[in-house]
Amino acid sequence: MTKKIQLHAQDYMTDSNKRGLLLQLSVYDVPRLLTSDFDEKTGVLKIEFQYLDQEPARTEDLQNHLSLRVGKESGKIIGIDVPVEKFRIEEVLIGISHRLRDRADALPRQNQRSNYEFVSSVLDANKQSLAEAAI
Amino acid sequence: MPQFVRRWASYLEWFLVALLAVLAGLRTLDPEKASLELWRAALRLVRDKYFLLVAVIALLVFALKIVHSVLERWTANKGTLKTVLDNVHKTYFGDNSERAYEHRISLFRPRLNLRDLFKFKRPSRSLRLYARSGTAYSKSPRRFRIDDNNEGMNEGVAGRAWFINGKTPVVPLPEWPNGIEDPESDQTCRDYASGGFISVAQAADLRVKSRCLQATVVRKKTGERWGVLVFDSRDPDKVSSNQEQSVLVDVTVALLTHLL
Repeated sequence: MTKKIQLHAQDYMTDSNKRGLLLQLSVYDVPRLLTSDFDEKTGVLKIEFQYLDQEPARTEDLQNHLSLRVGKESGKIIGIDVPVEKFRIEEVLIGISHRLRDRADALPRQNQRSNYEFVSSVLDANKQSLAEAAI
Repeated sequence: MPQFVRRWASYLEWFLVALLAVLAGLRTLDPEKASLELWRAALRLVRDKYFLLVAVIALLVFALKIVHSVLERWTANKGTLKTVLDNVHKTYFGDNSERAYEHRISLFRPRLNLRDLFKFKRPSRSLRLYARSGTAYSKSPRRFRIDDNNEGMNEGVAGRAWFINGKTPVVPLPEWPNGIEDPESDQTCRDYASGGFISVAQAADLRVKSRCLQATVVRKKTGERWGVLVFDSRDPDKVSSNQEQSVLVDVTVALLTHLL
């Protein structure tokens, strides 16, 4: 089942620190739509973020067979492929969100760091809806 | 001027392609049957040097194609982009008075510094003015150096936006003191320069001493950086990060991306 969630930046930037981050975020790095699709045959949860532009993506492999699709030019997160058992989706999403936040600190460009922080907040806030999509 | 050259390069290209077809036809005619001496000589030339003529014309067509394509990139929608800047200026600054020229919206594009070749160095890149709102200061010799590998080498707030590939916060700048003889020794001048990410000499050289500015990168639809959009004003309160102005900045860059 495919789940689509419209994203409004202000909903994810509630405290003052995050509002500061939002001011720095370029409109190109704020996803507008979140799509998730769970393939029962392969057991892969595909999460896609849609942006203002249509930047081509390259794949980066992270730990535990987690694969990240990032923009070739900007390095922003375009998609995440998570091999996961259905009942563990929510738990896995929390793990991804933490991992993205940790990774953000080591990134060279500010636009990437802000984008990772934002995507991480989006995953935190929507983990339940994304998990329901797989049921 | 580039538009004019581009149009005529296109006409010439078509003419040369048509000439290739005409030459193929002329080659079949017998020069000895021609009555006029000049016509006979021309037909002989086509018959004897046919390959050379075709090769030269083909090369010319190829060269014109390159000229056309380079100019097309260079002149891409410039008039349209300027119209966007002019209209956003009215809404963003909301100033219809005679002092509206004190606020500007400028679009910068990266260019190679070919002068570096004369110093036997690899050409560096700078941001240069591409289009600007209004009619005042529509031309500017100002260059802001950019360097993707060295953050400190990026000049100006525009260079900063280019390097971070994003949007800078609003930068407030102090008032430049009048009639200052040695700006290097003045603290306000030094603050002005460091706040704007330029040297004191560069700041002193600016014709317009802005009091506040904000820059944001403009990307192509493919995510590649195309240029930098800068909002600046001599009024210290006219560029801000309030909700309305932030939204307008975002809408403008989104529009520019779709027009590129």
